[in-house]
Order: sequence, then structure tokens, then C-alpha cells
Amino acid sequence: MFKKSIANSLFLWFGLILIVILLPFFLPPYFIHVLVMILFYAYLGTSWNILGGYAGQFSFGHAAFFGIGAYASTLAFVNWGISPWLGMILGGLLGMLLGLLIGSLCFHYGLRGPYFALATLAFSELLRLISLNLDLTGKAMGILIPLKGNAPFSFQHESKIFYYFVILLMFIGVLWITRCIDKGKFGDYFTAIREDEDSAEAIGVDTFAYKLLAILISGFLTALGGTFYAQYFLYIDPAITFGVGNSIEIFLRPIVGGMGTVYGPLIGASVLGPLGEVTRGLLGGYQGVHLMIYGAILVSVIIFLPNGIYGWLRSLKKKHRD
Amino acid sequence: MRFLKIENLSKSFGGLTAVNHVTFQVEQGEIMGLIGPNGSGKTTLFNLISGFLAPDKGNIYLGEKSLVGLRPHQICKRGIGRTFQIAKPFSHLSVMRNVRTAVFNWERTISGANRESEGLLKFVGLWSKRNESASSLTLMERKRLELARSLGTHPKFLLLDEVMAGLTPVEQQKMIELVKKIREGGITLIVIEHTMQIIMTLSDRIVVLCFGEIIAEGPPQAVAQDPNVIKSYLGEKYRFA
Repeated sequence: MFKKSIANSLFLWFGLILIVILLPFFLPPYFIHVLVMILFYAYLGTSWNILGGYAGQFSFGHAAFFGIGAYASTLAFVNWGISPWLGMILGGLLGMLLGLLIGSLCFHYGLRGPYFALATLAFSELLRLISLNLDLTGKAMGILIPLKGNAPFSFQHESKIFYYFVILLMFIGVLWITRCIDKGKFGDYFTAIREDEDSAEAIGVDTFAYKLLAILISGFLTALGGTFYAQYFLYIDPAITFGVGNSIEIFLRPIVGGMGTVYGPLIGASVLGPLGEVTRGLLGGYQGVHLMIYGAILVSVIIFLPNGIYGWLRSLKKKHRD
Repeated sequence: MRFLKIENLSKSFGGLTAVNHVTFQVEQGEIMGLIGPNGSGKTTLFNLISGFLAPDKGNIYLGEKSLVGLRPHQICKRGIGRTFQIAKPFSHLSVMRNVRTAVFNWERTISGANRESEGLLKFVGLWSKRNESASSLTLMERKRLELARSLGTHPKFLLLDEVMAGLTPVEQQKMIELVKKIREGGITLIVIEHTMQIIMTLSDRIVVLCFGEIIAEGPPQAVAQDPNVIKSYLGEKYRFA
């Protein structure tokens, strides 16, 4: 009986992996694009979730890290011909540095809850205004990344399947990191900080250091996402990278899916992605109507499922068991 | 000999002096009761010792070393644990992981931390609740969890802030036994409690605070008969049976 269930779950995993690998080869480019965007926002949401969900430090300005990553790799590529793969690591490190700056300032002065959220928002707006006014960043025009055709070493390809596998691997990586955090000491410490900082301090948790650690990890990973975006669309400007809208896109999926859970952001992205596409497809003719419906669905999810879709599924499962 | 020494400690909030030139010493292995009317500075004293507040004047020594200026987690690592008057469990973590978080203070491996947490949960009688989320616990269970969690850090000194408050007499009796067992395990305790009967049976020595100052100190019987204590804490006409 026991062996059979292991065999079953192995079979299930094998099947799932096979589907995920083979799927893009049978889909038209539009559907691959939808999948890429689902994975992309699942990746960003999962990165945000480490700081905002687990450690409970709600960042309203994650676009700052995203933009830093996007501009770092793009500028390095456009100006010095450095491969965006290397630029991505550079962007990640700069994202960490920004995390160090924001974190050491905010956490040192004890900014919590809405105050921390506003401070992160201020940082992302600051960076947006800087990139809007610097010649280096192309001001409001943004930067067009030169086409290289099929050049995987320059992080470019004409086929969307290439990007699908890149973002798939990135997402699996961030999922694995989150799982490790969730199971072990870091998960306990981050959650303890989220639930009650005083209690956490009283039992030996260096709350300052662990909040800083969370923002460093999250900042690094989010910046990598920025590079992916730049290479996928081959165009960046201040508003789409550093803008408030982007920050909202980043934390929306984990909120809808379930904050502080491993799979919440993936679930959120899997629901919101197709939802956005369907409402736009059905109601695209009426300017803005699809956004209103999208917004209405969002509001209802937040009101009726306060623990996100994942939390709701878990409570259903628990009810079923009892 | 390790001891905790409070020396001339003062703390004011604006015009209110919560703790005023307090000096006492806690010897290893004893249970020291800390009593006083509401607002007499007991919890402020705990917050000063555990590093949540910085004293205006005075010093706190653990052995030879001063604790003033250290952050709460550093003081915890030096071996001083505390509970909070209002139990503060990590609501969304399971009971087991609540305790495990504290055990990670010194244990590195997950399996080791799980084993230690198991022992602690069995000790306080919460093992059957290990997988429940802490938010589902009753008051009594929360207080026990708080106790298990502070023990998880391996303290040498433990500050208990009203762990009996709000419990039924039967529950209180169980808690008293638990506290006595903790002392037998070699942990020195400072206990804040309001119920006189409990503090009398539990403590080896009692310090009485009133308006931030120590007005009496000594063995329970002597303190209970001290006219100052009777007047300010127990009321003018109180007779100790």
C-alpha cells in the first residue's frame, strides 16, 4: 500500500515534468507567451514573498530591485557589450546592495508595517525619477536593446521556447530556495519576526540581521527577474521598470495566492495570468472594461479569501479530513 | 558562582519614575518572587533586565559582565530568558515550530531541534497539540507554550511575568508544579505574580516594589508581616492568615 502510493506520486511527478518540458513544443507562440508571463510573475512573486510574506516586511517598492536588475544588465550590454548573463549577476549584486541600503536604514530606525511600505515606495520612486532624468538611462525614451537574433549567449532568441525554459529554470530555483527556507531555521525565524518581533527577540532571534537577510535574498532574486524582463521584451523605460504599477504587479500574485507559503505566488500567478488574458480577450473592445472586471475579481478574492487561494484550499482540506 | 546583580537601576517615562534606584541580587538556584501593586514597576524591571528598555541610570550584571546596552537577543544568548505578561505565541506557526524557533538559538540541525522541541513539549504537556497552529490554543496552553519556548533557549535565569494570571486554581496548581520542576532542573527564576498564596509557596525570597522602589526584601513570612508591605500592598487592615 505504502509502496504503491510512492510509485503513484513518482509517476505523477514524472508525468508533470514531462508535460512541463514538452508543452511549449505543441503550443502556438501566444500560449507560450502566456505561460512565460505566468512563470515570470510567479518568479517575482515568490522572490517578493521571502521578504513580504515570510518575514512580514511588506515591500511596496520591489520595482526598485527589478529596475536595478533590468538597467544594470542592459547598460552593461549596450555600453560595454557584456553578456546579459553576466549582467544579470551584476544586477543581482546591485539589487542586494540596494537591499542593504534600504534594509539597514529602515530596520535600524525601526520602520514597521505601513512605514516600511512607504519607505520602499519612496526608494523605487527615487530611482524612477533618477532614471527619468539621466542621459545614461535614456531618460523617458528608455533603452532599446539591439537585436542579436538567435544568440543564446547574449540572452536572446527568436523563439519564445528559449525564454520559457530560462524562466522555468529560474522559477524552479527560487521555488527550491523558498522550500529550503520554509522547512528550516530561516523559515522559523522569518515567520517569528512577522508574527511578533518582541517575542522573537526574547528567544534569541537577531531580528535586525534576519530582516536584512530577507531583503538581501529577495532583492537579489527580484533583480534577476528584471534582467529577464529586459531580455524578453528588449526594451525598458523608467515607468515599466521602476513604476508603482510594477511594484503592485509583483506583490499582487502572492497576496491572491497566499502570502508566506511556498506555492502561493505560483497559484496566484496561474489564476491571475489567464484571468487577465480572458477578460482582455472577451472585453478588449471596450476600453478599460477588462481592467474593471479584473479589479472586481481581485477585490472579491481579497475580501472572501483573506489567506489567499492556497490558504483557502488548505482549510478546505482540513475540513474534509475532520 | 553566577548571579544576577541589579545595581542602582532607574528608569523614567517622562515625569513618571517607573523604577527608582533599585538594587538587589539573585543567587543561582533560587526562586525570587517580585511583587507589588499595579504600576509598581515590576514589568518595567523585567524589560530593563531583558534589554527591551535601556535604563537611565544604574547597571545590571550577569556574573562580572554588564548587560546594559545589549539587545534582547544578545541577552537571551547570555542565558536570560523571559516570558511576557500577555502570552505572545507565533500564531501562524505550529506549536512545535514555535518551540523549535527558540531551540535554534543554540541547536544547528533541524533533527536536533525537533528532538529537543519534542522533549520540551512533553515536559509542559503540549505534545498532543504539536501540529495545531498556536492561535488555536487556550490561555492555559498559550502560557505553557510561552514557558516551553523560553526554556527552549536554554536559559540560566528565567523571568516569569505572571504565568499564573487568568488560570483556574487547578491550572495554577499544575503551573506551580511545572515551575518547581524548572527550578529542580537548575534554572534560577524571578517570578512576578499577583496571587499572594502562590508567591508565598513558590518563592525562597521576595522583593516588594512600590512606586518603583524596593520597600521590603526577605523570606516570604518576614515580608508578609512587614508593616510597610501590609500598608502599601495588601491594604491597611489586611491580616495574613
